[in-house]
Amino acid sequence: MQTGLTRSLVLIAPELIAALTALIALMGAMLTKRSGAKEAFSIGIIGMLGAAAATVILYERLTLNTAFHALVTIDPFSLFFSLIAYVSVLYVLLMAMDSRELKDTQGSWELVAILSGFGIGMSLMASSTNLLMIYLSMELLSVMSYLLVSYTRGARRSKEAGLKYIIYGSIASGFMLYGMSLLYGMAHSLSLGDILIAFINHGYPRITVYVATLFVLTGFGFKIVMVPMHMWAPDVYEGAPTPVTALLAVASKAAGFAVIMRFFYTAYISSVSVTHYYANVSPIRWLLIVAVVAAFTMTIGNIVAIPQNNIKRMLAYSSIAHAGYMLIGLSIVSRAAVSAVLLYLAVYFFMNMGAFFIVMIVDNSIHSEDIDHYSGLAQVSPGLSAAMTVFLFSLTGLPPFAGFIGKVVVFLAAIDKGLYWLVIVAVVNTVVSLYYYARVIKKMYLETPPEGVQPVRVGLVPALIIISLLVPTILFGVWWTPLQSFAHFSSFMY
Amino acid sequence: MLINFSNVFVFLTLGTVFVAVTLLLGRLVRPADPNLIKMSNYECGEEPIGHSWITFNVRFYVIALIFVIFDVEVVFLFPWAVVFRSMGWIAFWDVLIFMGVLLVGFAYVWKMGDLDWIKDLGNLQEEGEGDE
Repeated sequence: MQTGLTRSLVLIAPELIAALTALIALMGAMLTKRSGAKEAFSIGIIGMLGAAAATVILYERLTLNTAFHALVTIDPFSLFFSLIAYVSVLYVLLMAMDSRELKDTQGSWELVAILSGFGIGMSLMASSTNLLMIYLSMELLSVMSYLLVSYTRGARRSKEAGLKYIIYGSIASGFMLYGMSLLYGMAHSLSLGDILIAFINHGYPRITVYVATLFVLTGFGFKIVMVPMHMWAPDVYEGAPTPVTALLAVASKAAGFAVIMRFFYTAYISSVSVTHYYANVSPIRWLLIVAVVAAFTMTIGNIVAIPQNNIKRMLAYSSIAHAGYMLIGLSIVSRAAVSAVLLYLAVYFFMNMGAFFIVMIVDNSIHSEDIDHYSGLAQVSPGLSAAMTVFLFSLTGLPPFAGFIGKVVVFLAAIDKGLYWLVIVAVVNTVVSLYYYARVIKKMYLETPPEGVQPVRVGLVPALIIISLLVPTILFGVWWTPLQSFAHFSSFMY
Repeated sequence: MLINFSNVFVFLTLGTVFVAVTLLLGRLVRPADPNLIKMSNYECGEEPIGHSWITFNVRFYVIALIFVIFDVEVVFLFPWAVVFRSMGWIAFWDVLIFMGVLLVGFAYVWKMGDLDWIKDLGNLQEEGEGDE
């Protein structure tokens, strides 16, 4: 008993470090004057670095392990997402330090505590192999997101976004809970592994399994902004402070994909990774549902993004479209598909985080998120515009950048399984997406700036952060082997 | 399996029909004589003051939330007390850490003045402005 507990605790060391960070932040809020922003952010950054380091150490030491009576499974797959979680939170903390919107809020200590909680929730979501644990960690992530969205004091836009998010989120999680209860009713177990065995041994009525799966998918789809559940995204992305929007667009989405893949690959698909044998054992054709939803998600996201004038709103629709591209990887069953989605998520982290970072810096300076106000930005601040261009082209998926590799890998995995129609839809969508990304670039480069506009000030630290995101976006576009092998190794799931 | 649900269906149908028939009968039989006293809310014999659809003070929710936290603490302590003897010291330290974490939260709530009913809002705004 004791040794089991110690082993379990070692396996969740990154989460323990993050939890400790949150506790220290809370104590910091109590013990210091409320002005201690610098100290708060330093504690948060140190904590997240520690958690990320612990994740990397665990990643190198072991391949798979269950902890706490198989409530969580720590394997390369879950550690990959833990790493994304803590690194995203780290970047969001760095962003929040410079954010105009978060400057005069309730307190930086609380922000650090909430963000640490977000990291824990996301990390646990990727490692849960039990429906109860999935629900709990997802709620942890959600509650933290609700708080973060409405974090700006006094800003109506932010409050409205928070309220919309909490209402949509509660409904989605209610649906998910209902679906889970149906699964429990059939399998008499909350463990994903037991559900798989139940699917193999019993013939359940199709309709029940359809309802249960669709309901559970509703809850997960809400997190990844899948199309029938995408309505909240534009309003929330626009209303939230920009660092939080970046977190929602990158980390929250990654967490959703982690939990979807974990759920389907553990409970619905019988697999032997070594021989590349994968078979859908559930009585329903859920892969087709996901494929159709993927097509709708990317099409609606891309088409509605075209007329947007607010850049955060535009990026919100673009994030819906990207969820669609990634869903292609879920509508086929193979290890290549999982590793393709992981690769896409890693690439998406760099380019989307970068784009939001620049949106925030520009907003700090010109107090506007309108695409029209980006006119002639290239003439006053050429470096920033060049970086933005790289991120936007990468989001489109143009060849020399990492976004291209992400798309190609996902499309190839789909072609390998003969899903040609979906790849054609995706390619057409990519062409459509070029229009609205290029519109921003056109504004920056081909239009003249208004009279008397000041160059956007970029401090040393923000410049370094942008470079740290820019380099991988370019580098992985031309030399993607390390990232690909990392994603391939991480696609190993228990 | 689906056939098992026929019982539920029959129950639902009967229940709906029963309620509908009773309400319809009542409507046919009862005298229709609405007046002011009859239409007022029933407040256990007290005369109602104002509407019942008022905005509750948001601070009630804060108190309720804090209460829930300590409620959950007790829920966790009961099963712990049952297995305490067999688990030994590790259970002791376990629950001590758990209580410690809760206490930090409690201290935070206390220090931040969320337990005070009357709040000094002016002070709060000053602090917000001093937050650079």
